[in-house]
Amino acid sequence: MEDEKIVELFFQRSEQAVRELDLKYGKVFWKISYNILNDRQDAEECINDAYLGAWNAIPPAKPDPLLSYICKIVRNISLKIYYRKAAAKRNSMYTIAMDEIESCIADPGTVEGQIEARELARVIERFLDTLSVTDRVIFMRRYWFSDSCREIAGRVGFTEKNISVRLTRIRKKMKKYLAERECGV
Amino acid sequence: MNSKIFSEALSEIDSRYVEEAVQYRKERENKNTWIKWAAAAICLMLVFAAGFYVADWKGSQIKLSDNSFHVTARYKEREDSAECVVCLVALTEEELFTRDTAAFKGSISEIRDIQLKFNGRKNYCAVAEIEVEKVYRGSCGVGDTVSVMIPYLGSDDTVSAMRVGMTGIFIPEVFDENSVWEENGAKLDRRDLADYGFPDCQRYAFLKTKKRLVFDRGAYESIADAQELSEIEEYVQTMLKKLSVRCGGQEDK
Repeated sequence: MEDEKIVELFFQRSEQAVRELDLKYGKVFWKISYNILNDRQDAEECINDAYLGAWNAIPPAKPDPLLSYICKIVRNISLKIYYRKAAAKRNSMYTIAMDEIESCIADPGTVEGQIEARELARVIERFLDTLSVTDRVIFMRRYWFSDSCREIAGRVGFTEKNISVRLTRIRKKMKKYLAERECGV
Repeated sequence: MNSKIFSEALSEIDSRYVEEAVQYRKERENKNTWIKWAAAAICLMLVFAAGFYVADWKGSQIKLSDNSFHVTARYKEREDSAECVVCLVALTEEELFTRDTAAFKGSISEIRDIQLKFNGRKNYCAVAEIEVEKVYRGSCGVGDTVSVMIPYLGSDDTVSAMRVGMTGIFIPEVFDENSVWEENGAKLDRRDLADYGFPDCQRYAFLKTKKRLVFDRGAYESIADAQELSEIEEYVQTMLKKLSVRCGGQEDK
C-alpha cells in the first residue's frame, strides 16, 4: 500500500493504518529498535509504543515521507528505554557505535559550554552536506540506524574492511569540523 | 559533548538524511538492474552455446564398461540406408514366449540412433526408452522407464513404425552377461547400452499407431485379425498363463 493511502487511513482513524504500516515497514522499525536495545521483547514493545505515538500524532501531522517520520519515533523511544535500562547498554550495536563516537568527540564531561542537541543537529547537518552521498549514507547507517559494518558493506557494495576504514576517516573529519566550530570537542 | 548528546542531536536532524540512507540501496539496485539482467542473459546464452557445442562434440559419446573392448558407441543418426542382416529363425507362437523375455505395455518416450565402431568398422543400432504402464511378466515395475535395444531399423519391419508417444506391448529379451555383440575382433556388452533388447525387429513388439495396429501378423497367426491393443493384451496374458501352468508357475526366473 502506498504511503499516502496509509496516512489517509490514519486520518480516517482506521486501525488498518497501523496494520498496513507494520506490514510495509515493520522489519525496518524492528531493526532500528533491536540495534539499540539488543532485546527482542523490548524492541517489540518499543515499536508498539511508536505505533501508538504515530496514531496520536497523525492527524494533524501529515508526514511525508512517512518512513523516516516513524523511524525517528522508533529511534527516540528506543533511546529512552536504552538510557533507562543499564543492562541494555551491553553488547548492542548502538553501544558499539556510540563508543566509536565517544572516542571521537569525548570531552572531560564539563557542564559549561555544553552544546544543545538541537544546535548540534544543525552543525551535524552542515557536516553531512560536506560528505559524498556514499559517505553520508555510511555515516547515517552506522550512527543513526546502528547498523553493523557488515550490513553497511552489503548495502553500499563495499567490503567490511572498506567500511571500517571509511568510518574512521569520516570520524576524523567530523572531529576536525566540530572543533573548528567549537562544538565542545 | 558526550555520545548521548550527539545521539540526541542525530535524532533532531532533518528527515531527508534518514530518507536518503533508507533509499540508498534501492536506488543502486534499480540503477544496476538492467545491467544485471543483460549480463545474466548474455551468460545464459553463452552457457547454452557452450552446452550445445560440448554435447555435439563430446557428450554424444556413450561410456562403455570394461566388459566391452575395441568398440566405441555414440549417439548419431544413421547416414546410409539400412539393410536387413538378421535372418529370422522360425519359431512357433509358444516358442516366441518361452525365451527369457519380459512382457509389458508402455509408451515410447525416446528413440535414439547409436553408431558403433567395432575396431573401426561401423554399425548401427537404436535404443528406445519405454515408460512401463502394465507388467505381464518380468521384474520391471509400473512407472519404470526401461531401455530397449533395437538391432537395426529397416524400412518395413515392425519397430520401424515406432515413434515417440506411441503405446504398445513389448516382449523384449532381458540382457545378461551373455548378451554380447562380437564383430571384427571387438566386443560390445549390450548391457552397456540397454537393459533389454528385441531379438529381432519383427516379432517382439505390438504397436498402436494412429491408423492401425502394427505387428508381425504372419508370426502370430492366431491373432492375425486383431485390430486393438486390448486384443493383444488378452492374447499375451493367455499365452503367459498357459506357459505358467505348463511350467508349474515358475516362468519368472
